[in-house]
Amino acid sequence: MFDYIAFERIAGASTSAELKLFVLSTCAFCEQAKAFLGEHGLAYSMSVVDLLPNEEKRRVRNEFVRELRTHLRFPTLVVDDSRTLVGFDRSAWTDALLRRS
Amino acid sequence: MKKARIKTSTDAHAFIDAVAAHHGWHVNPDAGFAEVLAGGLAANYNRFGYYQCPCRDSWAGDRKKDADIICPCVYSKADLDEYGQCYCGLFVTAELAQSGRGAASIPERRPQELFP
Repeated sequence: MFDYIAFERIAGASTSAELKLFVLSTCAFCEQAKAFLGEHGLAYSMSVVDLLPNEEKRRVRNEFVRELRTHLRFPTLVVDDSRTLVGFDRSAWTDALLRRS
Repeated sequence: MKKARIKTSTDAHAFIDAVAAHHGWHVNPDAGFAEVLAGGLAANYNRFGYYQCPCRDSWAGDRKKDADIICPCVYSKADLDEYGQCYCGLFVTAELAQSGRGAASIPERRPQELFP
């Protein structure tokens, strides 16, 4: 999924789930999301959507609707190409990423 | 032809303070958080020519299509009334400012058909 995007890879000690983070370069909740993943040592791939060419942006938006059944908001974290965390909510992200059974 | 002046984060802070004063809102007391958004607003002004919301994807310079999300966006009053903050968490109510809770992502009020 999203294999046409040149993601930035951010290293981390934990790679138990494949995480793809979509952010804007201008958004404070996006910074909080990045900080959260960093604090918890989670490896992830990141795309800064406002810096993508328009055609790629369009493809990303369409793929969100078609494959993930949601609209792209910022930040959005895609987990294992199947689940999404839309918007940054520390409690929800903790439950979804750190308390997985 | 006169060239538009580049906006700095300081310019954006002055704009933010003026908007807050005009509406009787508070600027998010988390200075680091507000600084990211001031920088984002300045970046958007310098890209598009207007203070487009830094938390939403835009029509990249189409001012008419972005009109509802030029800061302060048309949804901000309703969001402050319902959630105590605007979509970005830049403007907050006195209650939220004093609570120490901090802003959090809230549901998008902008209709989907208005997005690119």
